[in-house]
Amino acid sequence: MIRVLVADDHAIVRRGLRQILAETQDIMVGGEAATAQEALQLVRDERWNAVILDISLPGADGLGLLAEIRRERPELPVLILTVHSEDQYAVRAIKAGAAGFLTKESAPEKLIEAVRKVAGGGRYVSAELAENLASFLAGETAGAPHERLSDREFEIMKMLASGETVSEVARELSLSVKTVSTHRTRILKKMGMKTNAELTHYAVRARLVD
Amino acid sequence: MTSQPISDEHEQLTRIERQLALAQRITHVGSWEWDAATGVVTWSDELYRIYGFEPRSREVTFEFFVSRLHPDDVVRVQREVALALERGGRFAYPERIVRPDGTVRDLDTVGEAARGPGGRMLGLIGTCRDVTDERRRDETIRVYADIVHHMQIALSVWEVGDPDDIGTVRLVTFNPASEPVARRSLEGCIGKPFRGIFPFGGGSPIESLLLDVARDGRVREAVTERSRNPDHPTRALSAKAFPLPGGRVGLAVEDVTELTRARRLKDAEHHVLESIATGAELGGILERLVLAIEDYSPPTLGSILLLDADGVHVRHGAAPSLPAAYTKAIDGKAIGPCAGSCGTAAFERRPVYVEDIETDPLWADYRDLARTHGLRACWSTPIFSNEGRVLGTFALYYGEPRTPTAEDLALIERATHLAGIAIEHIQLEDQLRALSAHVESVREDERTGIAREIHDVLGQALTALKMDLAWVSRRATGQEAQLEKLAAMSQATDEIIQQVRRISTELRPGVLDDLGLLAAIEWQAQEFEERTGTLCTIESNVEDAALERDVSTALFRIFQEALTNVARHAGAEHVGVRLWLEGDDLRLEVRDDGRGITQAQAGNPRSLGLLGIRERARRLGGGATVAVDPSGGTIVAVHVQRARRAAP
Repeated sequence: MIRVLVADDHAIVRRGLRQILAETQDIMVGGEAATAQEALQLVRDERWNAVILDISLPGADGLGLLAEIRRERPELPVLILTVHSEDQYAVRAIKAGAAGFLTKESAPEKLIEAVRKVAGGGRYVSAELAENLASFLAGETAGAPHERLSDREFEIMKMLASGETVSEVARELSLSVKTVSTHRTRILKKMGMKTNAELTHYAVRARLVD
Repeated sequence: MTSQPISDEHEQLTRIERQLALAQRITHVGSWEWDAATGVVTWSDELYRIYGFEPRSREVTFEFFVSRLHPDDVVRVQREVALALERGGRFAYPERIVRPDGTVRDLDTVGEAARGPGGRMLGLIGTCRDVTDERRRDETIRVYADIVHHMQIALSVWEVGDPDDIGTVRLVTFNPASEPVARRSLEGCIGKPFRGIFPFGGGSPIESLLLDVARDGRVREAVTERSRNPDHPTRALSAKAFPLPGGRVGLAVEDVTELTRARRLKDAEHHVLESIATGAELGGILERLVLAIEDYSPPTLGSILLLDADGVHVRHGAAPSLPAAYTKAIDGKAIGPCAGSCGTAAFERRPVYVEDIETDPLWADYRDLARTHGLRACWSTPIFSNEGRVLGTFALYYGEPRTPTAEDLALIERATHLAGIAIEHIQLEDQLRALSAHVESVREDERTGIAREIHDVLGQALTALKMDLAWVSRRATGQEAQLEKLAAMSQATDEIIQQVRRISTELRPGVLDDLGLLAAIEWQAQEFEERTGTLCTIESNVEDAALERDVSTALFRIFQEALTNVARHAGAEHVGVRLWLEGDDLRLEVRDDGRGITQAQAGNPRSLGLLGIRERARRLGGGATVAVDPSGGTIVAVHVQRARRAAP
């Protein structure tokens, strides 16, 4: 049985979570906290398999509570559950030692999956987030720059590197110019480059284009 | 001249006549003869020319001679001629004649009455010399000599033996004005060397002026703003040296102390006004003003005190030359009816000129303090605002008892007026800035409140609603239509959540409050990339730095404004953002590779976006520059103090 502590200042959210988790056979909500102090107290006093933590709990300074919990019980997995969908929250939460990151609008199945995964010692981030994290952590990751790209990005990168313009790529792939332009921006960022010329130079040297 | 042998008497005579004519022509001397018996007058060729006629072009009679005389000379000359005839012998007189073209010539006439046997008068013979040019030259020289003698510019002539040795430069002559300018008697100095006369002249610009002119003969000028003579340190001299024949050098020196002083004061005033306009710091402006006054009117020591907002206490404004211990002791004292010169002037709203601190009752409480620092006189004038509010005082101190002169009073009035402009301007500016900061902060607080309310209350309630919908959906066992409806409701809820989040974030991004400035900048950059397709890269060293809310907010808003400009004007492909701490300064730089801002755009006072950036930065004790990147594109560079200093 996975015993979970839910720390969220909104009663209706806590109730919702309880309902969702009650449907499983292996997860039970063993306690609730509405403030940072309560959460910390419960973490100290009882044994838990996982904590579901709202990032903006009253009495806590941003990710301060997460850090506090990690100091208190380094082995206790914390799953951040938040209404904030911005990548900055996820990146900082993961860096601060969260075992998983999930937004509140995610489907209930995802939440259950996430709790199981972190309680089992794993990590949970959505596929989409994983990709964004890659670009944030680009500088810290090893491997060739083009390996950070998704399949679609890789395809567009090769086209741009061979000298095609954004509008040409858009026409060829039946995408809007704006979409391709956004792709281009992400590609440059993930690869740590600033111009198409740098892309071409790289692609030729890496023998990605002829 | 040829040396032909003389063939006969006639030829020899002609030759003598030719030589005589040539001699007359060269010396402008004409000769004449008057035969008393026949009344015939004979003129030499040169005399015709002197009278302005072609030689021998007409008959000459005594009446003709008289008719050419200057009207004022007619009577006198006729009398001279009559006298000569009567007395006989030699005679001489000056005369003026009028040429046909109206020009007047001065002639010197010398002649002799010729007598025959028995003393019979035969006639007159004489010469006329045209001395017009000579007279004019003499006149000119006389006028020049007079000018040189009376002019206020010191003129002197120096003999330079060796242009590389100042020891060989000796005084030849000088005009009377040289003595006051030299500030010494020059009696007995002729023939003495330069340094012997001016012991403080060693290495002075005037000395090198003399030597340089002697060396290459070119005219030179120089101005010395400060005399080397310790007795007259503020004296300014303007000198010009010019070459004279015989290796001598002429030197014209003018005392321009007053002129220079006035110009320096004017320059300083101009500078003060300029500093006010460009928004320099008040202390610096006032200090410059006081220094200018001290420079203009030594040995005065100036002081500006500012009246506190409470209208009772004075604060140090500027006193660059008064002893620091003295200004420190005065700082914070209360004004009153008997509080030294300044405190009383501010209290009674009138000038208080204390001529001797030792005896003046107003200084009873401060006499010992003044004595300790050697201050004996203090004249203080209140500085008023436009509406007549006392802003502070302007005071002049002296080490000796002293009564203000009319010139002193005029100077005080000028300085007080200028100080008033500076203080009032800066105070108004400070108030305006404080007001705008207050408005800004209220607005930011409101936005934060509303954003949080929307985000938390509405957002969380919607989230819970969504969970409930999911719960219902799972339990629903009814028809397809019911399930579809539930799915649609769930999707609608998602969309509402998105909208709520968007509205809230636009008001104030939660990232800024929850995660701090760098995270907020990263987030904003990411949004910008997605919206515009312009790549943003960020470098920073402030990850863990705790920043004040005001500082974070200001820099975040500046960053948003900078990005707005990039999106609107630059047409950029890449935006480089740097955010870093440097000592106590927090710096933000936004650099794009777009078209580049023009000088006109950067300085446009109606560009509210740029004005907003500058003002936000200034409020935090920093500044902002917007400039063109040398490699194209625009750089917005901002620095603020990391911890805001206390409001003034």
